Amino acid sequence: MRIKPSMLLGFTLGTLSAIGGFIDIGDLVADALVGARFGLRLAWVTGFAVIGIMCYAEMSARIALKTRRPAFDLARSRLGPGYALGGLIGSFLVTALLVMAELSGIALALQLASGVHYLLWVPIAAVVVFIVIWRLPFEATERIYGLLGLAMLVFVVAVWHLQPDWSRLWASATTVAPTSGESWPAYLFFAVTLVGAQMTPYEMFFFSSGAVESRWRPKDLVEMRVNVIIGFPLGGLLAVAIQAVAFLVFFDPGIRVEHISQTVLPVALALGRVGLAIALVGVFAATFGATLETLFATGYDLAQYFGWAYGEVQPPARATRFTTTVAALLLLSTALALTTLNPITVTIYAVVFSSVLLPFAFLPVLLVGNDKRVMGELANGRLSNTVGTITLLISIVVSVAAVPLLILTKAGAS
Amino acid sequence: MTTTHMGAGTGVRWVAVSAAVFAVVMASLWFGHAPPRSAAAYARQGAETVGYLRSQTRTARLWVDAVASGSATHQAASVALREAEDDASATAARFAGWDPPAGSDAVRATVTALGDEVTRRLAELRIAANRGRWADLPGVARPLPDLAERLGAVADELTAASRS
Repeated sequence: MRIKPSMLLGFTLGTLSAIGGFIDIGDLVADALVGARFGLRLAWVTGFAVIGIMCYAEMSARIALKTRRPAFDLARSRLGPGYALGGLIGSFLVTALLVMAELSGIALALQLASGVHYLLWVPIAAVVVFIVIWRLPFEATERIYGLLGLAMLVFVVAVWHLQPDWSRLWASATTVAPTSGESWPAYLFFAVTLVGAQMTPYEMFFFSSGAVESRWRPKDLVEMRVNVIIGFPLGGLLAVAIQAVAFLVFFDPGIRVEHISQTVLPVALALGRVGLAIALVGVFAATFGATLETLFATGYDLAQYFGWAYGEVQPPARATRFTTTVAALLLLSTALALTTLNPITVTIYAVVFSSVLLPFAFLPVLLVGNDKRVMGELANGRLSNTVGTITLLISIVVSVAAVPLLILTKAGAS
Repeated sequence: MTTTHMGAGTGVRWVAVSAAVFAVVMASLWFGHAPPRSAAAYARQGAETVGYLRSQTRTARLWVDAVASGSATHQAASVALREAEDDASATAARFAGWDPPAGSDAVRATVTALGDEVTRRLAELRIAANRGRWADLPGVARPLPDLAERLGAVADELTAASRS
C-alpha cells in the first residue's frame, strides 16, 4: 500500500490529538501527586488505564463507523431511557465539574507564565474558549491543541536530565504496595484517582461523537486504530514521566504536591527556563484541549439524549440548542471557578466520581460492540471482548470502592 | 387499588433510600471534618500538620534554588512562593482551630509555634520576591533547611507519641 502525505498527516495529527486527549488537568494533578507520595508504585494503574481506554475508544469509534450513531444514543436504545437518563445526569455533573477544573487549569498555566492571579485569567480563558468554539473549524482546533500538547514530552526529557538511578525507578515501578509511612487505603484511593483521571468517560463520548460528526467510514478504520494504538500509549508514557519526575524531586524530601506549579517545578530544575516555558505551553494546550472536549462531550450527551441537532462541524445557527448548552455550561463553569473553589480539590473529587461512572459508560459500548446483528463484520473479536470484559469488571470494583475510599482516607489526606 | 399500593410502596422506598443517603452523607462529613478528640488523634493530626509545613518549606526552598540558578522565571517563582505561604498559613490555622484534649497543650504550643515560624519565613520570601529583591532570596531562605529538619524531628516525635 502506498502511503500518501495527506494520510501520514492524518495519522500524525490524530495521534497527537489522542495524546492531548489523554493528558488533562486530572492527570497533571494526580500523576504528580502520586509520584511524590508513591513513586512509580502506581505506574501499573496507568498501564491498565491505557489498555482499557484504548480498547473502549477503539470499540466506540468502530461502533460509530458502522452504525453512524454515538455511544449515548446507543445506550438509550439498548438499555432503556432510565439507564440512559441515570448515565446522563451522572456524566453531566462530573463533566461539568471537570470543565470548571480544566478552565482553571488554563488560568493556572497563564498565572505561572505571567505572575497575575489565576482568577483574573479565568474569564479571559472562558472568552477565548468561546471564540474558538464559535469561530474556528473543529479540525483546526483539534490539530492546534494536539500539536501544542506535544510540548508535554518535555516531562520525558526531564526524566533523563534529572539523571535518575534507573534501578531504583525500576524497583519502584515493579512494587505493588504503598511506600513506607503510607497506608493501603491511601494507596488504593490514589489507584482509583488515577483510573478516574486516565479513563474519563468523556474521552469515549467525544471520540465516538467526533467520529459520527466527521462522517468516518469503515475505510477510516486503519487510521483510527493507528491513532488509538500510538496516541494513548504515548499519553500513558507522558503520565508515567510526570509521576517519575515528581518521584525524583519530591519523594525523598517528603514534599506533597498541591499545585500545578509543583507539577512543572521538576522540569524547571532539570531543563531550566526553556524547559519550564515548554512545560507551561504543554499544560496550557492540554487543559485548553480538555476544556473543549469536556464542553463538547457534555453538549453531545444532552443533545443525543433529547434528540437535538448537534455538532461542532455544523454552524452554531443550525444546532442552536447544542450551542446554547455548551455556552451555558461554559458560563456556569466560569462562575464556579470564580467562587475561589480550589481547582485542584475539585479535580480530585471530579476524577474520583468519574471513576464511579465508568462501568455505566462501558457496559452499553461492550454490548453493542459484541452484537453481530448490528456490527456485522466489525463486531468485537476475541481480543476486544476479553480486554473489554476484564476492563469492565475492574471498573465495577473501582466504581464500588471509590466513594468508601474517598471517605476513609479523607480524599487521600491520611 | 393495586396501583395505589405500588405507588405507596415506591414512595416509602424513595423516602427510605433518601434518608439512608442523607445519613451516609452526614456521617461522611462528620468523619471528614470532626476535630481530633483523643490525645493520640491530636498528636497524629499534629504530626500531619508539621509534615505539611515541612513540605511547604522544602517546596519554597526548591523554588528559591531554581531562581538562584536561573532555572525558573520570576513570575512562576513568585506565584509558587505565594502558594506555599498560603498553604502553610491555612495548615497552621486549621490545627490551631482545634481545642487540644486534656494533656495535649504542649503539642498545641509546639505545632502552632512552628506554624507561626514557617508562615513568617515564607511571608518574608514572598515579600522579597514581590519587591524584586531576587538576589536577596537565597539569604532570606537560608534558615529554611534547618527549619525543615526541626519540622521533620517534631513530626517523628508526634508520630511516635500518637502510637504510644
